[in-house]
Amino acid sequence: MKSLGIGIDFGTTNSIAAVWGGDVTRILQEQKEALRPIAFWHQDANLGNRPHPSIVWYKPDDSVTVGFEARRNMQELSEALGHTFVRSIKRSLNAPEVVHGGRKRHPYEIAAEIFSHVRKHGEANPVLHGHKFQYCVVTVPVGFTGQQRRQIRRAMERAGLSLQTFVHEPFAAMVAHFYHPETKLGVLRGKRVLVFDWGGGTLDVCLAEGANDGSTLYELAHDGIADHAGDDFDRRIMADLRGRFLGRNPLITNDDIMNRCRAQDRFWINAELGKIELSREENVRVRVPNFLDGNPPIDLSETLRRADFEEMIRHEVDAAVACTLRCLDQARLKPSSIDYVVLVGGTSQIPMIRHRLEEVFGAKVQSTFEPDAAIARGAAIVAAEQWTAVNAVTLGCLMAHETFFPLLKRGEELVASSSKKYVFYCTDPRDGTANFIFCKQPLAGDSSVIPFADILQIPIRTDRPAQYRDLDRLLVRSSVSPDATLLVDVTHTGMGQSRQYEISDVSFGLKLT
Amino acid sequence: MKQNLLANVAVKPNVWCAHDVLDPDDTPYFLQEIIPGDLLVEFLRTRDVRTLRSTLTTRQQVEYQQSRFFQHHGQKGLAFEDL
Repeated sequence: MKSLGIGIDFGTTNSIAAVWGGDVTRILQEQKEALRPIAFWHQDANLGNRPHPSIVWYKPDDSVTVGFEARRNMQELSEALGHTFVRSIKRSLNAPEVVHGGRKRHPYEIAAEIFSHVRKHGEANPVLHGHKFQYCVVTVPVGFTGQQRRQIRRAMERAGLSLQTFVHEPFAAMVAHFYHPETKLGVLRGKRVLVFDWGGGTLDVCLAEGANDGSTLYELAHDGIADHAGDDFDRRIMADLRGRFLGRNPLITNDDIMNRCRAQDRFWINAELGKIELSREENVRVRVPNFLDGNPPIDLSETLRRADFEEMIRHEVDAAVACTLRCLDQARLKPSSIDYVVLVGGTSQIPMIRHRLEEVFGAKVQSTFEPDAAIARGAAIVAAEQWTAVNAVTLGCLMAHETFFPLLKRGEELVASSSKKYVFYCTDPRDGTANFIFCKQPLAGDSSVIPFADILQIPIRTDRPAQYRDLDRLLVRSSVSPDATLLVDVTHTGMGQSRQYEISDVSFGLKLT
Repeated sequence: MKQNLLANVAVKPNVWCAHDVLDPDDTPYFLQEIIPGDLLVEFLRTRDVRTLRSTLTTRQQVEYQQSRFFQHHGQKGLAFEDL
């Protein structure tokens, strides 16, 4: 181990940091605990070790509270004047600004409060004695765009943190699941792993392969669904419970709930807790005292059955399985070619999902240890081992005659770099534009490419050149941005016009040596 | 970052860079084999069959022939001449 490494899982519903390296191994050995990264849990007397809720509470005096305290007070104060609670800000990172409580804020400012809370909580832990909580590896969903990653980096900087590198969330979870302090990721030599990470905000599926010599670990393919995850299931449960409540109380209307319900946030929290409990029990009673204002106030108390819940989410589970098969298809693999399937994230603990995946993959399906912290632990391992993030899928552009020109090759480091320059020529000026179609070459040793949906067109001279040596020259500069995206800048050398293109769909790999 | 987003429908790439050449000189001879045959014929300023056969690649000859057959009505061309 080279140094102390910090990893942060900035989640839609919960966030958590973990630490590995430095003195952590010695501390764990002294405490006779298993050798794995230490997660900075919120320790709750009733709930046990829990990650920090990604809830930000803005108070009337402009002070800010994040995490469990915000969540607890949200039940009572969400409707109180001057108090604003922001949940799931990770979903709004693409927005230029969001309005909460009549006040506009940039999403990264709100996200920075969560990072700041995680940092302060970590700094208070004696494990970090003498070390700075600053450089860290942060995980992102597979579908995050360059803009979203940029917002995360800005949020980190605002919170006093520095980004070591980004890693995809399921990839980090896989590292945590298979890591051993002695053999590192030796168990993955020549093996293929599929990680199914379904949390509160997104479903991320990632297929990875370890090199036979143990030198690298590459993502072969990734896919995901951004719209259907744990938070949406909570809302569906709430709608179901609300419907039953109305059925049981025929004199109450939907408008009454809209106008008289002062417990929407409490309702949401209890519905979520009921959903979590349904993974262990067949039936769960969801209670919300003082659900409706009145004299006397009316409570909500409904039973939620696992069978009903499974029926509610059947279509989403079908879509998740289809997404998994699509990921295999991208890599041209069959379920039988996969050695391990790892389940990560709270939603993947729903028994129905495990059964559906076992139907496809058989007995290879396994749950990771403490799924709420697996991603942060994997990020901490990457940070401590100082493994370099590398590009796993060659990115480039199509040239005339459908020839592929690589701009960022498989195995190149994914760190902010100086730009590489290439001189391109427009081979056919008769359209009036030079057309750049960017694409990825997903399989090593296979020339087939997948073009990205958008193309970059740059105007060229309208007067026809006299000979082919006079065709328009285009200077192409490509570089890896600090947000782990590939930036391509195309400049017409004669006309001086330039256009930029950003490729966010980068697959991660790790150089393990 | 602002991107020039256009639907990728029936647009063909028309750029070329010599592989592994970071800064080619000002005489890109490799382009002669890459550009469409009908465009190269324009640059050569000749329709001499022997010259075209010796200069154009097989693919460019096909492209040149096809361009002659698919010229629009009323355009000047050499539609039914042999190469």
